Amino acid sequence: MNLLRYFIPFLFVLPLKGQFSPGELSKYHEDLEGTLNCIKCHELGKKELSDGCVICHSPLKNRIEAGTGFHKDKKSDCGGCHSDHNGRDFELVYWPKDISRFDHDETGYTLTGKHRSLKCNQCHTRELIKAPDIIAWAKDHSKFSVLDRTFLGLDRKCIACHVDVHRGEVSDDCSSCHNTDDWHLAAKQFDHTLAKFRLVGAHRTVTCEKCHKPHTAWKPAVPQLTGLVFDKCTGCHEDVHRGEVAGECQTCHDNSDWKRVRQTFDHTKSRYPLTGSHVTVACEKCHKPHTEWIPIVPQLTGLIYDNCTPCHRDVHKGSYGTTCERCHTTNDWKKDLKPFDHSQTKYPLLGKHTAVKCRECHTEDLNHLPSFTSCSACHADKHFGQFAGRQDVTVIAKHVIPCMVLNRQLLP
Amino acid sequence: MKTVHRVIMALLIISLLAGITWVMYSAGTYYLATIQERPRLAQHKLWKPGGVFGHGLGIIGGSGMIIMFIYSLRKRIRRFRRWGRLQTWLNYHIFLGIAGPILVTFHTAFKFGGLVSVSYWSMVAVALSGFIGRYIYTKIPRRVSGKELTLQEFEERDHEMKENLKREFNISGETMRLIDKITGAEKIQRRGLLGIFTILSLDMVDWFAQRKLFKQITTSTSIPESQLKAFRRLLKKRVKTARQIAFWKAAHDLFHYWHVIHKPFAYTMIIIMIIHVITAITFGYTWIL
Repeated sequence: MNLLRYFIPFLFVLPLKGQFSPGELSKYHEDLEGTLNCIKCHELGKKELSDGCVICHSPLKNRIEAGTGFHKDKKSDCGGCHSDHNGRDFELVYWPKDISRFDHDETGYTLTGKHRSLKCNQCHTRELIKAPDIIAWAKDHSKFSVLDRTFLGLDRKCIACHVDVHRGEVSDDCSSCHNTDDWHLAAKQFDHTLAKFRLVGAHRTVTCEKCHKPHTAWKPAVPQLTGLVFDKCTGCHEDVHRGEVAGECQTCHDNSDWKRVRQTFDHTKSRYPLTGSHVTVACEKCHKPHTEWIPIVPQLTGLIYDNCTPCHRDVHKGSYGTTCERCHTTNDWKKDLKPFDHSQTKYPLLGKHTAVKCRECHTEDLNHLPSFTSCSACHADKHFGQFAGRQDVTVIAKHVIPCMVLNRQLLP
Repeated sequence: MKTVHRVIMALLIISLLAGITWVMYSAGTYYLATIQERPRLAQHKLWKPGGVFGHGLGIIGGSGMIIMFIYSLRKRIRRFRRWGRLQTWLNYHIFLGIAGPILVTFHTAFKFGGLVSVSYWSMVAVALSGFIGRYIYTKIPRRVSGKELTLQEFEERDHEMKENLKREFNISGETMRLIDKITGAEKIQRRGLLGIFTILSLDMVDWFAQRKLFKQITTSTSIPESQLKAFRRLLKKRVKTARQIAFWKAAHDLFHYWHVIHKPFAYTMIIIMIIHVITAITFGYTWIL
């Protein structure tokens, strides 16, 4: 009896459940209640719970191992934040500050722009959870409506939350054009050098929508971002030459100013290579504008260049035909005349005749051909008809023979 | 009690009071918070039972509760009888019996559950019974050394005091009866074990009763002014002695029964506390080590 009294206090032990537990587990861990379950969470000799926790909370383990998410650097002491044994109704996930002031940077996903003013549940909804491991875990723990409570499992890609209004037309790297300050306002600093069509010259200052016309059939009518014809200028620009010229526009035009035609156009490659003074003549002197066209552009083809008169006035009034180049060159119309080969005419010039100026014989114009059947047609008869009809030796010796030498035509 | 022990005891009491003040100042709001609120508080890390401070308090308080047992060893084991006066050990035993539960209570953070709560409530039972035991203890007459007096020795002392009253202060038989009346000795003896409650009630009003009697005697008798102080001291001693004699047997019986309660709870406390400590260490709670 004396010894039995020592066991009296132990009677109070018997009704106690979970004798070693420091307190009731939360409802989420209710199934782990019981002395034999301690080591399911607690590792002997180790105060922290990390290993015990992540054995069950495998999605967290995945993220810690991958070094992502809010828990990436919280590898130990889960109980430091998620204290348990505080009663059934104790919530294990607790935000030290007002949840709206939570520093989202800690998750590795910084909220910027309009994202900052969003409420948590605008993104963190069960519909937007995509991570397969979270979905699977939630399925295994359906008792607690995990998907409505978890902050895990969202995809960082914009299209995870936002509708892809470009309908796959461009890559899902939305941030290369858009920013979170104003979703509708595509970033001006888009690096077009990454695109197949690099912007140069005046293209740099053109607003995007000037080229990227909206898909009017779509709602919303977003700009067309791919499939634009950019191998030819006419994909965007109207061909003001109306097909008059073929080939690359860049041959004449510059990206920096469409209207400024390249001065470096190589006319030698045209069917009418420029020579002489033509080289320095302004283009529009020859390429007159199509005045009936809007916009008025110079005529680039169809110019008649097989003779000079379409451009140059025929001061000879057609008297010499159209082969101007027989006498003229492009160097200087007036001064640089080709030497006339009188030997090819019926009256080759010989002797002193070669030094006579053209106009001394061709008194009216060059088409005026003086009679060369007798000398007196040009020369005055200093003998006053003394030798008219005479064919004597003296006359023949003094004038006819030299004259015959001069004018073979006179020879019989 | 020797001066050195007085100084030690004073320092211990001051340290305890300072410690309690510091804990209440630092962790008062934590302890007042609900169990659900506590993990959300900044103090939780330090003051939870497993926290640096909370755990430390438990270790200090628990150690105190173990050190207390040196008194029991000193009292019961012959070899340890040379280890100082029993009375001095009892004072330390009582101090640790008060300080230990207070520190352990802070360690629990006022959260009592599981097996270790049996240890805690056993400790509370031991501490409370200690107060009662100490009270009963004072009712058993002892020598200066702390050794109990026999009833015969004690009755001789009482007789001597009576004679002194008569001889030195000319207390008549009538006045002696008045003194006997306020001792309540007859009633205490008649009620047996329940006489403790009679003593308790008389002790509570003793100061007033003795003052009244003292005035009554001093007005009706001619005790010189110079001897009033000595008379009052003797009167007080006589009242106490009369009660102790009346309660002598019951006190011994009561003290025996008190041990029946005090000791099992003490052992329960210590056994479960050891289990608690082993469990804690097993799960890695090694404090700052």
